[in-house]
Amino acid sequence: MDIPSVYFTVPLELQPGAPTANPDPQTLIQCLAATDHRVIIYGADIGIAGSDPSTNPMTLSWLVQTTAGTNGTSVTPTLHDRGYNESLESTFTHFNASTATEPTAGDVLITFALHRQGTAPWVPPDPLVVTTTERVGLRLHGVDAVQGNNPYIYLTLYCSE
Amino acid sequence: MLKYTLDYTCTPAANPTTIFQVLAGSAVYVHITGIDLSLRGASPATAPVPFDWVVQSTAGTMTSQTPVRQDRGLTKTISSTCTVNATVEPGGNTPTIWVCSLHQQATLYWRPVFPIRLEPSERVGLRYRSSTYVEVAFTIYLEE
Repeated sequence: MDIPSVYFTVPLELQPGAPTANPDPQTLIQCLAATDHRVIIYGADIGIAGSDPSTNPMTLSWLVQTTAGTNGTSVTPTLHDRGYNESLESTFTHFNASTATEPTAGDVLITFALHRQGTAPWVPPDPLVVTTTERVGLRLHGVDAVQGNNPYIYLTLYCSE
Repeated sequence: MLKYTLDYTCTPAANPTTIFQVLAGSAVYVHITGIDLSLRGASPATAPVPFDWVVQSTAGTMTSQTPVRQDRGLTKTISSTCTVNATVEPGGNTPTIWVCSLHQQATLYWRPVFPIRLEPSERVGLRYRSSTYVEVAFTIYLEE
């Protein structure tokens, strides 16, 4: 029997960094796969909207995370088929609030750098699999500790569960 | 599937500006399968332009633009409607389907991992979201 997956995108835009609490690195987004579900991450379109072309690129890593962190902010996915009447079970969170604390890092899966004015349609040769109840995050390195010094990040994930 | 493209060049004058909207015909699903998106800014140091694809609830005030069939030997009529370069912005703008940014002197050949899908009679718009106004040339790839 062929059971169709629910496809969705996760759009996110934020400016990393706050005066005191936001660390470097910072988790841009964490995916928590619900019980008895897997999330498949097929790719991401990532844009950094900086105004300084000569500053070194920022580094991004996909990694397993073993805790939820604290004071994360929920991110709402958008169904690919908006006529499909089914709720998503998995959840997505960013950690840009000044009160947020980072999730605990586990195995690093993928790392790449991106120019501060760059755009990357990132598609891995095989999708990332977030297995049941697992957390996987996309973490940004190079965050300036001063609010307003960081470029905005524009990010869309392509997923299914 | 009937495949077609919509090509246009404009310079937005407001932030945001919906540079393209497609209204799916009442009996068809529409897939947006790609964009070729180019910006022709003069300053390499100016921050990139954010773009997003959003669901829109109204037409706003936009210019009609006729798409071109990939196979011009087909006679089937395109039932969806394409408009460009809003002077009065469409309403709604939620949910957001996609967001990214592009350097003001760059080109993005964007091929989404899976296409943006429109329900029958649904409107989806591509918005330019910067107060730095540079010429933008784009081609949208669609099928219904």
